[in-house]
Amino acid sequence: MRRRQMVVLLGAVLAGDRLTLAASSAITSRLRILVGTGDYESAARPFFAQFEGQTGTKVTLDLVPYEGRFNKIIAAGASNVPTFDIVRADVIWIPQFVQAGWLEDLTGKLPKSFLTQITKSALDAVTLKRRVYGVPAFTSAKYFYYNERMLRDAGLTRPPRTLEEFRAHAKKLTSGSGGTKVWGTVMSWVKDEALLVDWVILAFAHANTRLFDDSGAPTFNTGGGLAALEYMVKLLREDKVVDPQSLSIHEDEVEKVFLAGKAAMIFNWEGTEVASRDPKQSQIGGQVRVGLIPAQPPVVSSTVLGPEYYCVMRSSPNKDRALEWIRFMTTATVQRAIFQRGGFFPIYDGMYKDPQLRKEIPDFEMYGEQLQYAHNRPTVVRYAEISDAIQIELHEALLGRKIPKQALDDATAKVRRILHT
Amino acid sequence: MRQPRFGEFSTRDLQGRGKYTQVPTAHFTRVLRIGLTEPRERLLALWLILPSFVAIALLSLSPLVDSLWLSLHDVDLAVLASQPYVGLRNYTTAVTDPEFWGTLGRTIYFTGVSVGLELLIGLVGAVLLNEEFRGRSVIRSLLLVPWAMLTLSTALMWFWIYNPTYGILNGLLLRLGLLDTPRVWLSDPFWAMQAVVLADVWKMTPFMTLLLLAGLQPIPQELYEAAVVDGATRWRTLRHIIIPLLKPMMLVAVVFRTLQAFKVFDMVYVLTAGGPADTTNVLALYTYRQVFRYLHVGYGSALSWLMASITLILVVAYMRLLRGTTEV
Repeated sequence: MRRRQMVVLLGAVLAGDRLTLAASSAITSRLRILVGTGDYESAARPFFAQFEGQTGTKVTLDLVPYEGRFNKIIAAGASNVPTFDIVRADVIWIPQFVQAGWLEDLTGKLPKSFLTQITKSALDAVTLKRRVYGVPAFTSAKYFYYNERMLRDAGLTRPPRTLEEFRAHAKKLTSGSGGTKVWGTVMSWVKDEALLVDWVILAFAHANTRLFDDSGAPTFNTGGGLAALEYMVKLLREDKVVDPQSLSIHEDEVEKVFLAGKAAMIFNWEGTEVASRDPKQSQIGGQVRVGLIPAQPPVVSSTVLGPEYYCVMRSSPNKDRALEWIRFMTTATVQRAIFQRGGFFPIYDGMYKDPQLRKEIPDFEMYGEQLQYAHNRPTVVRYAEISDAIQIELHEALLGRKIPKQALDDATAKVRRILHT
Repeated sequence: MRQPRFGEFSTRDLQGRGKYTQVPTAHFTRVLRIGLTEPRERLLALWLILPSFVAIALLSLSPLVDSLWLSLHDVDLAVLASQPYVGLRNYTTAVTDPEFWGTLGRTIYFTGVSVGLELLIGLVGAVLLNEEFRGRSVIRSLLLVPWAMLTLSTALMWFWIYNPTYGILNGLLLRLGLLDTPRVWLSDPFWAMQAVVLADVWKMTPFMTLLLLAGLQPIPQELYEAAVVDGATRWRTLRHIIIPLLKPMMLVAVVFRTLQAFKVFDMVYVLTAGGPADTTNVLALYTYRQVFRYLHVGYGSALSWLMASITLILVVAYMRLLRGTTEV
């Protein structure tokens, strides 16, 4: 009896071994990918599995939150150990990673026909010295949302198109006091990246400006940069049409104030219009419309991009397979599905004219049109440090502790020190 | 006869206890002496402490040595070209940078005001909770709640309390007529720091109260009764009995809290992120940004060592003070 049991056991072990061998022979290669932990991953997850099924490539995902991801890429890059094949990186990190030599140059490895379909400004953000270092996972930009009903009630027949109209609208829309106070606008002007994004939007809305010159030296204390800060100070301190809590809140809280009907117009990332239709989140369902961010003529509009990119690590031993995965995740079918499942906007200009998607999202074409006026934040190596230095000085002006020119001159001096220029 | 200080026994207390206190001491001394003189026992002891020693060396000493090395080199992860030895340059850069002194000043202000308020409120709370009343144990248990909460959760909660539109603080002050219009606490350069202090005081006062309460417990009831018989007011009892006897425990509590408050990071990070402008940027946040945002690892390490040195100076000063209060 015992002998028989032993034979059965041995057989089972051998069979198991064969099965394992069969399974591993089905895996032709492996990819390790660093991604985030948010809604995008939930929306994209089925396609990660689909890629595995189609190609036999085993995909291992490292799900890491935003801040942690930056540090993981630094550690992987600095050690030169092939930890990840692909990383999802924020647009503002990429120049630094390129300078350090951690990202694979994708120029010539992706067909031109594929690249030309992607929103140009999104690709420009990762094109350094004419070399492409990433492919956007989705498109993200700031848009202009307004409460159509509030505008109508105030006798305003259309959203503002110019910056002066925006001021005038905001004055008219600011009303009430105490608990019934409604602000013309509320902004994410906390001392953080959100503040810098809005300042850059307004800088380009004032003029086709340059924040840094060709040599990389800061020039933002004149032209559009200065005009933008003066405009922000006027809105906040002179006109008093900006909710004063704007100096301490991010975009999430801005959206909450807007959806509670406490402000009439905001700049925010995509998603606010969709959230406004959810009665659990919003008290202004059916009242929210999307328009172009106002600008100073002859500038039509302006926005800033904030997408994340798939980049191939230079240390990856599976670069071809990594490119294949990126191409798969950026096919029109997958982009459409991720948009429908999670609201992450597609990377192709052409999709904003898609009749089906326009039916699903009101003003969908407007989002596409806004992208035509998109700009990028400065593509500088020490971006985080430079951004922080500028944010502090922007706040000094917004708090009325310095005049805008002085604040930006001081910011320029700090940035020069950081860049050693 | 001199009155015994808190923590001392009177001569009468020690009568009959000598045997109890002397025997174990002698016993342990003998055991230790045997352990140290017997080679086999000594070897065994070394083997037994070896794993702990290795663990401490790996987990504590090695990062310390590494960070010291980093602080003496120009290590910048954004530029990986080389990591030259720069001696004390990172330290001199820090001490000649007005931003460092600014953050240090704000850290000292935060620490001083927070710990001072916590001590004051904690003392009152401890004295009250030392009294006999119904529901005392329930209140003592409830007191632990703010302290037991994660700092992150506390900070988020206070973030909403300070919300100018929905926040309970504005709601309360407006109803009481103390404010005419809602105040935007976290956007105001002066109030933002006070808001951070208040949130910290709310969270950490229970800790102070519990420590002081523990210090009040051994004070003999007879002393209070004698004070009553002598006609002492409550204020005089507090001033001449409670505070002098509680002084060593107060000092211990202040040492703990000062060291914690000096490292404040998460409360500031969540509530204000150092803003508005730079008005709540404290030393730990400044150091964090240098290392993890700007990747100036060498400079950030020097800042950490400077911070550790300041903490060490505080500890030594407190220890001297503490010794002064406990010496007979």
